[in-house]
Amino acid sequence: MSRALVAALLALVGCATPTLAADGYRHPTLGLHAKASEGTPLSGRTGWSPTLAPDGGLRLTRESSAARIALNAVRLPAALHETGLPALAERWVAGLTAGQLGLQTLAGVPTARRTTYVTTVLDAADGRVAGQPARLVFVDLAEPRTSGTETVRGETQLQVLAALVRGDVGVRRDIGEAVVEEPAVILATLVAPAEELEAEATAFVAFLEALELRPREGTP
Amino acid sequence: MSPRLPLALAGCIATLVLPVASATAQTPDDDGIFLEEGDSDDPFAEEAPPGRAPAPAAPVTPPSPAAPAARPEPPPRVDPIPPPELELPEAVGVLRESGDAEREIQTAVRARPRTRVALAVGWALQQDGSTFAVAPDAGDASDSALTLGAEVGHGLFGRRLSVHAGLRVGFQVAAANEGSGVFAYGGGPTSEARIDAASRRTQLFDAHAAIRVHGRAFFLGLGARGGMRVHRYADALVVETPRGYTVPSVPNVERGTERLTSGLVLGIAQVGLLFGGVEARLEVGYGIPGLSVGLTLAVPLWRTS
Repeated sequence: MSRALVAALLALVGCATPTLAADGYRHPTLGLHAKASEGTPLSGRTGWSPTLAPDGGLRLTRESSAARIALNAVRLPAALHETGLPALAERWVAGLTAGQLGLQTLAGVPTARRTTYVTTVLDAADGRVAGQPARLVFVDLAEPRTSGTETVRGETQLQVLAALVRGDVGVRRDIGEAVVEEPAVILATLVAPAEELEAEATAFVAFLEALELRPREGTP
Repeated sequence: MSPRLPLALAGCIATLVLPVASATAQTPDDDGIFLEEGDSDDPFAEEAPPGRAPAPAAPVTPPSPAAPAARPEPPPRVDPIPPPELELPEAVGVLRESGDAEREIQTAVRARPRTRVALAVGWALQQDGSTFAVAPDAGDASDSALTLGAEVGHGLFGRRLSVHAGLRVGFQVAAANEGSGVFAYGGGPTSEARIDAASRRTQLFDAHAAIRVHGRAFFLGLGARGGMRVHRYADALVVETPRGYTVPSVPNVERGTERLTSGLVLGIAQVGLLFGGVEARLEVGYGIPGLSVGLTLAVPLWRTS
């Protein structure tokens, strides 16, 4: 059964699915659109291959390098609804450290069972993506080494450029006979070996600049 | 307190503190707990107290008689590789914006009720205590039925409460009393009639309504269920006898197909799970004609956006 038919059937019963079409990627429930504008990794002539992740996110892999771009919407648990972006970014980096597979997968970081990294935030800054407040974080992921009873930083494995975007967005969830929209952040990451990250950053920024975020329904 | 105890305590404290002390190149201190400079290559080295032979494995200064005689070799210390000092790549500069990233935070959870129509298939085990469908010699009868129908639900207030209603038809798939022989039914004021035949039951309709409280992925419901059933006795032997006699003295015997109807009125309690709109629920009911336990799977057909 073709993907389009499955999507049509799911749409019939009200289950939205992500779409990856000529005009770009659309998130299933969020008003998030990654446009396939000229020069962006989604445009098709830049050596990036887009795929849909099982969780509805977008993955872009580079054919000529080990760089990856990932785009996801991450629902915030109630305890983090009022947490600011800098603190959320810190928690996210801490999650990468602790080997939380979910967080690593969302970031597009190569992962396996019990993969842990020693993370170092190299730089962080406030920014704006798709017209919304964002937190830009530059993280170094190193292999852990054992020193006595401590785990210390080893060789750098990867570097991550991440943008956490938090605007008037909500992930839609079905609870029985109600639709609930819960606050969410959009997480866009570029993961690459240290020597390749600088070169791929331009493509990542072009990707971020092509993001559109439609406000939630009912927002004035 | 034994005079040796403080020394033992000092030994324990030194064992805990030593790795930190060695890593930070401590200078000698009045308590003598930390290593002296230049001793950090061997974090478990120990000074011999005057007049006493050095204890080879005690990691402290001064030595503790309570310290263990031997310790395993510690793993070699590895200095961490310092992280590079880098800034955000130049290209990212276009995204920078000074100011706080915390403004415009939206914290509200928004909920919108909606209507949902689902296709429901169910299986129910029904204890049947109705007068005409009980085998007098076999106690209460029970049967199971497969039902198919449609259900509709509508949210009430917020996201926690909803009303739910359904209508189904069904047919019997198994009966504990099928073919067991005698089923009592009806009769006049002075006589009673019995049917000697197996029955097949058809659920003419089965309607329910419930109010539900929803959690994140589960719900609890309370409501009522009602319906009408037809019992069909093919090739039935109907024997009418004077009331109170099990052996008919002057039986009035007829043979043919008999149809009887019965009602269903139950109070129900539901507990269920929701997976992406698909609902699986367990329903327990009690009333006329008896206890009912059912499982239902409801797949959404249509819902408002």
